[in-house]
Amino acid sequence: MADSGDGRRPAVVIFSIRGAGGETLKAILAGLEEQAVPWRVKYEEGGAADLAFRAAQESVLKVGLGISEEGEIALQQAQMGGRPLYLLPSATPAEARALGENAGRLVKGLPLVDPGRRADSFPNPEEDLRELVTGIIRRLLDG
Amino acid sequence: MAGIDIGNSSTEVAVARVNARGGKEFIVSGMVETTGVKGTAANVRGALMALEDALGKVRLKVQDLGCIYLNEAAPVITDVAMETITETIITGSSMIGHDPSTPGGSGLGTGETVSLDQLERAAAGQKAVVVVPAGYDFEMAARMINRAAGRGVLVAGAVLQKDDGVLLVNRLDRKIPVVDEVSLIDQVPLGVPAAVEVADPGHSVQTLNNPYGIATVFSLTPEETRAVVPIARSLTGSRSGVVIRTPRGDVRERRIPAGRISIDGRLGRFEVNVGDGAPEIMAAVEKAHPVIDIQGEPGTNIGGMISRIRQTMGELTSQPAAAIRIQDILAVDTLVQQAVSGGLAGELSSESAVALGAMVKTTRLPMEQVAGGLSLDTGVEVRIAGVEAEMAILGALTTPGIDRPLAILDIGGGSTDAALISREGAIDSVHLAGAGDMVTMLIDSELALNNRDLAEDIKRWPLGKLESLFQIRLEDGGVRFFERALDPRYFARVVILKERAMIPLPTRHTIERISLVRRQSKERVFITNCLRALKRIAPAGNIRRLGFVALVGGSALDFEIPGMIAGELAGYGVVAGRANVRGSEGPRNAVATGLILSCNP
Repeated sequence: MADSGDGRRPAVVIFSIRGAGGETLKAILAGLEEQAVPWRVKYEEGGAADLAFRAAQESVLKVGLGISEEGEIALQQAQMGGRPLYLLPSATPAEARALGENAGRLVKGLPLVDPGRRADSFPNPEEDLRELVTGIIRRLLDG
Repeated sequence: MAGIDIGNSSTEVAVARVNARGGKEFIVSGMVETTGVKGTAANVRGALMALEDALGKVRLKVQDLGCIYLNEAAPVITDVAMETITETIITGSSMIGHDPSTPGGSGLGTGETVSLDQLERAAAGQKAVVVVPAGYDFEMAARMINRAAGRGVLVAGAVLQKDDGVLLVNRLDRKIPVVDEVSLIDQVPLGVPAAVEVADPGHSVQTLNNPYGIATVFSLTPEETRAVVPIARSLTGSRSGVVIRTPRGDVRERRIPAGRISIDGRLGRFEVNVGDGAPEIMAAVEKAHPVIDIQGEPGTNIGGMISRIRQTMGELTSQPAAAIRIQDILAVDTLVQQAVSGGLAGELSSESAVALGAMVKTTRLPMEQVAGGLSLDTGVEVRIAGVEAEMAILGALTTPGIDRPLAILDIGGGSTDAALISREGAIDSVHLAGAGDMVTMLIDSELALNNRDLAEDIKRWPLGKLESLFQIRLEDGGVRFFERALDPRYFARVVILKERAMIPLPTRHTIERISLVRRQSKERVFITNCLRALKRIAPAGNIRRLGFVALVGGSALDFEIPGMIAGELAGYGVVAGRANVRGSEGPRNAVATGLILSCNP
């Protein structure tokens, strides 16, 4: 899935600060490749949300990602106005991978993954319940 | 004056006055949720709230009432239970059938399972299925596999713990089928024969879903082939699958003895095995009609349910449980999703089950308690007037365009009730087991939700699917557009359109599957019971001789049930539809209206 350099080929566009988070970019590209969706990387200036928005406008598939100097990553779709769909400050490789997958899923019309957890696995009611109870106890203890 | 109908779930009120000519004029209606169990003093609070709800709308007070009429409630206790009658046990042999969304490669590959870190030791000419745990990066794994293949090892397929199926295959010199997202990779047996199959997108496996296909791959005897049928069934429709053969390979589909039910009728006792399925059970119920009592085998789910409702009714009417009689059951064949033991990736298989609803009723409840409490609290005279079924019929008769003979159907949460008024004015009624609660249970189990509340919402509300961040495709094909972008967490998900909210469904089911299960569950309970009930009360059991059928009660407001019932009854030449009490209340308020119409102030 190499970058062919052809500007009008349908692809998800990623705007990145030159030299920013190599591991992050690699993980995002792995997510897109696993979803079998083409991508193109371009080096631009700006914050993650702004980069993602401009990338989405340039993408024929209308989906864009932005990676900022600090390693903040954002996913945006060209129809959206203000905030990006996802904005992750200092993303881990796993979160970056999930965001790349989400870019692919957005294009393919599949449900999105919560970057913290795989969202299309069977819901685990025990796990959800434990989370809920933990959250409630924490809130009670915090007063 | 006011008429109050205390039902199992709602308490409804109709208020009327006597006008100058002595006729009755309806003023206003009200409704609240019933407080407490029907027939107990706890109902008084709800009755008061309903009165205040109604009277408040026209600025009257409770003390302005001359008399309050209360219905003579027919108590019906119901319950539902499910009995699984098959179970798939896979012992020794293993299967991976979780159907990950992005497997790699395509085709069928067979070989001996080898861990990636042992691949260097494999000999040239050896057929291998490589098992790759999460510790390995896909680039590294690809390099190692390419190297081994270069030496002459016949790498035929791979099983990955991480979600890297496509990434791995893209870097291999020779494409092989790869199944990924196998979380319990350590449990994959090593050094045994395995087969990996991946189909192209939009297709499903063609060899591993076929017992003879599996037999060919592993050179099975006819006896061994019989044993792999459950695996083949589980993998049917999946885009990928792995079957791993172990020395002690043994796969069984076990029939669980689900217990017997004995039905005592006027002509004798009829015994039936729950495992024989719903049609057998319902045939026995018909043969035994009129049913005197029903017993379930102790130690079974169904036996437990039957003894539970006996006990509840005994407590409610202060009678010993042994004296209570179960008069009706409804059995429905269904499927329950159970975890496959021996599946390595949380696979579920559809097991046959029978769902059963049972009902018990007595002739009257001590409504005097409720009447006394209400009279005390309001200072108004309270009279218990009118058998519920009769009052409901009188209320339903106020629907425009209706006439006798009229049959009414009230499908509640626990029971399906029907009543008939003949041309001459004679009234007959019947209560059957099986209603809304049973439909909810069927939906819950067939979609493997493990969430009754969610199943209830699916039952009641239509579905949609987010096609983009700005539009929802509705069940009927229509589209609803939104000016503001929808939450990305709902993107491409099936949602329930409940009132003004959208509830995303945490399942992988398609919208078509969910709506099919919903409609079929309603058909198998409501349509079955609608016909059973009408046949019981129709003249000579002939539904055609009913002129008019009207649906009353809350469930008549469901968006598809009235249409389904009307469709079913169309063939019988009757007029069927949702009642419209007094031309304004819809299917509600029938009993409360009837109480007012029949009273003598």
